[in-house]
Amino acid sequence: MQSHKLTLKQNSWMQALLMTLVVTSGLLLFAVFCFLIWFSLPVFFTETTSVFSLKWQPEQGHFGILAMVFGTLSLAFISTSVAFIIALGLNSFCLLSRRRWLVALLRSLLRFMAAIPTVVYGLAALFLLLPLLRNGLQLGSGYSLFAAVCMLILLILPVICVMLDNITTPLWQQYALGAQALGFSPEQTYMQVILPHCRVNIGGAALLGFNRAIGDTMLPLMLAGNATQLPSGVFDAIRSLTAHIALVIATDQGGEAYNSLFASGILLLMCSACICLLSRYLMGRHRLEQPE
Amino acid sequence: MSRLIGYWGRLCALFIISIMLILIGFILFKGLPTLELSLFFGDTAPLAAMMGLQPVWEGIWPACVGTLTVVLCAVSLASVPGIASGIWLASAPDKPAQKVFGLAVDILAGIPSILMGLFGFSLILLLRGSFFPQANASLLLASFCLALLILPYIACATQNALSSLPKQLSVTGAALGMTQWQVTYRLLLPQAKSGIMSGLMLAIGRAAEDTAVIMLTGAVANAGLPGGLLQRFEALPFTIFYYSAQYQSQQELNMAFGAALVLLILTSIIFALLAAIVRGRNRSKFGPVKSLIKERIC
Amino acid sequence: MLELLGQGKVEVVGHLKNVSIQFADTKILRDVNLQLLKGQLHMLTGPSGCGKTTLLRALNRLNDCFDKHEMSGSISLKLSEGDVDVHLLAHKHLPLLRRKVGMVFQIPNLLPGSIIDNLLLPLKVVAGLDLAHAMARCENVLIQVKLWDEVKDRLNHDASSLSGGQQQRLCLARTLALEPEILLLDEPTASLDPENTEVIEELLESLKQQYTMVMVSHCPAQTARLADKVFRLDGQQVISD
Repeated sequence: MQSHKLTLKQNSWMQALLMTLVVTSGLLLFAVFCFLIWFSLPVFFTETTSVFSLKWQPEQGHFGILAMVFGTLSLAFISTSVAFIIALGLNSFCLLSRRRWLVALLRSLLRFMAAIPTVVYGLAALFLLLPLLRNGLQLGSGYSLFAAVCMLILLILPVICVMLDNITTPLWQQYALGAQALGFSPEQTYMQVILPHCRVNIGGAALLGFNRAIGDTMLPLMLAGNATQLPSGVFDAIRSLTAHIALVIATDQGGEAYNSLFASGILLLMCSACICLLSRYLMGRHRLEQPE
Repeated sequence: MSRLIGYWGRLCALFIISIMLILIGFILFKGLPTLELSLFFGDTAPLAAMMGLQPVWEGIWPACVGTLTVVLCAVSLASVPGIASGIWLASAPDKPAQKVFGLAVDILAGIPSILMGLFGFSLILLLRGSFFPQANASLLLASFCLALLILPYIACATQNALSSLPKQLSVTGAALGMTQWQVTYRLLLPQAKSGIMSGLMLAIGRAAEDTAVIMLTGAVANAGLPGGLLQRFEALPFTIFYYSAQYQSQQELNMAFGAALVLLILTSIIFALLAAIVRGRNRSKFGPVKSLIKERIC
Repeated sequence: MLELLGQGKVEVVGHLKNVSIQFADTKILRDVNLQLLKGQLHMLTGPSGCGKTTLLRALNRLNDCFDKHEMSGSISLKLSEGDVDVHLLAHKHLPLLRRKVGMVFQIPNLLPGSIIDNLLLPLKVVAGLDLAHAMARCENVLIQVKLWDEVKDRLNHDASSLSGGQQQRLCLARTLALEPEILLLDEPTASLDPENTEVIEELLESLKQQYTMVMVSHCPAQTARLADKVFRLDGQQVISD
C-alpha cells in the first residue's frame, strides 16, 4: 500500500517535470517568433518606404533590401529547379538500375553529402570553382550568382533526393511487378505509373529543397560576392538576405541599419513558415504514412 | 520517350559521383599535408597548450576545444527538454495542443539558421536595454541559441521513435497496472532508445557544423581557449570561414584547409555512428531504411 | 468417331527443357521438363511453397525483377511472330514478351487511378493505341468478362471502389485487352468468395479455345473442373499426370 502511494506520487512528480520542460521549450520557441516579430514592427510603422527600396547605401541613408530579396529568390529558384531535375534523374536511377551495388553506393553517398558541413562546400568552391570562373572563363572576380548556385545545388540535392526516395520506393514496391507483368518497361513504369501518381507529394519535396536554399547563409556569403545590386546576368555578384544579416551585424553599422536586419529576418521567417506549411499540406498523406 | 529517363538517370549518377569525388579529394589533397602537430598548436608545446598553460597562436587547437565545448553545452541544454517534448508530442498526437506545438517545432526546424543568430542578437539588445547592460556575445549565448536550433531535431526524432512503437506495448503496460510515467520510462523509452540516439547524433552533427548562429553570438577568430561562459570563443567552422576569406599567408590558408579536414572527419565520424545505429535498428526490426537527412523530420 | 479423334492433332506451343531456377543459394526448381499444348488449360498443382509461382513467372521472365535470380535450361514458346527462346531474350525485348504472355495475379494488382485508367494506360503505353481504338477495345473486353453492365456508369470512379471479384475481373480484362496469346493465372480465385470464384471459372472455361492457359491452383475440385492437363510439382520436380 505504501509503495503504491509512492509510485503514484512519483508518477505525478515526473509528469509535472515533463510538462515543465515542455512548457519551457514551448515558451522559448514561441519567444523566437515573438522577438523577431517585435523587433521588426518598427520597420512597418515608421519609415515604411525606405526599407523596401532597391538602394542600399547606408552612408546616404538608403536602407533598401529589395535587391537582397531578389538575390535570395533568384538563388533559390535556380538552384531548386536544377536540383529537382537532377534529383528525379537520381531517383529513377536508384529504382531502375540493375547494378544494385552502385545504387547502394549512391544512396550512401547522398546521405553522406548531407553530413558535410556547409563551410567545407564553400571552402572547396572558393579554391576550385572560383579560379575556374576567374581564369578559365575570364568572368571577372568569379564571385557570382552562378558560383553560389552551383554549390547550393549540391547542398539541397540530398534533401530532395532522400524525400523522393521515401515517396517513390513504397509506390515502386506496390506497383512495379504488376505493371511490368503487363508489359510496361521499367522506364515506362516509372514515368507513366509512379510519377503521375505522386505528383503532389513530389511538389512538397521540391518545396523543402527551396526552403533549404532560402535559408542557407554561408554559401551566398562566401561565394556570391555580396554586391547590393540587381544582377543583370548569372555571372553577376548578388547579396542574399541571409548574407545581408550576417554582414550588417558583423560590420556593426549601428541603429539605422538594424531596421533592415529585422525586416530581412521577418521576411525570411514568413517565407520559410509558409513554405513549411504548404509543404506539409502537399505531402500530408505521405507524412502520415511514413513515420520517419 | 520514356527511355530518356534511363539515360538521364545514368548521367546524373555519374555526374554526382565524380563531383563528390573531386570535392572530397580536393579537401583531402589540400588538408592532409597540413595534418601535423603545428596545425593544432602552432609554435607552442603541445602538452602546455592542452593544459591551458600557454596560449596557442597560429593553431586550431582552441577552435577544436571551442567547438567541442559549445556543442557539449548546446546538447546538454537541449537534450532533456527535447526528449521531454518528443515524449509529450507522441503521447497524444491528435490533441490540438500537441498539434500546434508539433507545427511550431516543424516550422522552427526549417527556418534559416541565421534567424537563430538574429534572435540571439536581439536578446543582447533587449538585455542591454534593461537589466543587464553588459550583455554581450558569449559562449553562453551561443550555446543557448544552438540549443534552440537543435531542439526541434531531438523532439521530432524522439516523437517519431515513440510513435513507431506498437500501440500494444503501452496498452500492455497500462493493463498491468503501471502508471503512465512507468510505462514511458520502463517500456517505451528503452525500446525507442536507438531512435532517440540517432536524433541526438543528428543534433550533435548539426551543432558542430553550424556557422551562422555562432558567428553572430560569440565566435571570433582569436580568443584562445574558451575562457568562461561569458567570454567569446573560437570554433572550427568560423575559423574555416574567417581564414578562407581573410588569409594573409600560406600558413593561414593551410590552417583553413586543416580545420576543414578536421571538421569533415568529425562530422564523418558522427555520420558513421548514426549509420551504425540505424543499421542496428533495422536489423532488429526488419523495417525499411530510414532517412538520415537533417531537414527531413516531423 | 475415329475421324473425330484423328482431327485434334494439337500443336505444341511451349517447351520447357531442363529448367532449373534458384534465388540466391536456394534451389526452387530442378530439371523441369514439360510441354504446353495450344488452346489447353494446363494446371500446376502441388504443396505450397514448392515453386509453382516461380515456374509460372519463368514463362514471362518476371523472375528477372527479383534479385539474385538464376535460371538454367531452355524455354521456348511458339508465338505468332515465330519461335521465341524466352530464356535468351534481351532485357529490352521483355516488355513485348509480357504483352504476348499475359499474367493475372492472386491478389488483384490494380494500377493507381480510375477503372477506365486501369484499362487505358496499358493500351496507350504498352499497345500504343490511340484513344478511340483503346476505348473500343475496353468496351469489348469489359463485355467479355461480363463487367460492362456493372461499371459502365462509373468508369471514372477509383478502381479500388470495386469489390474483390470485380477487381479480379478487371485485372483479367486488362490483360485480355492487350491481346495475349498465352495466359498465366496465379491462383486467380484464391482471394475470392465461392460466388465470384464461380464467375471467374465460367469465364476461364469460355476463354479456353482462344488462349493457351497455364494456371496454378490449390483447390483439387477446381483442378478437376477446369484442367485439360495437370502437372504436379513435388520436391522441385514436375510429374505430369
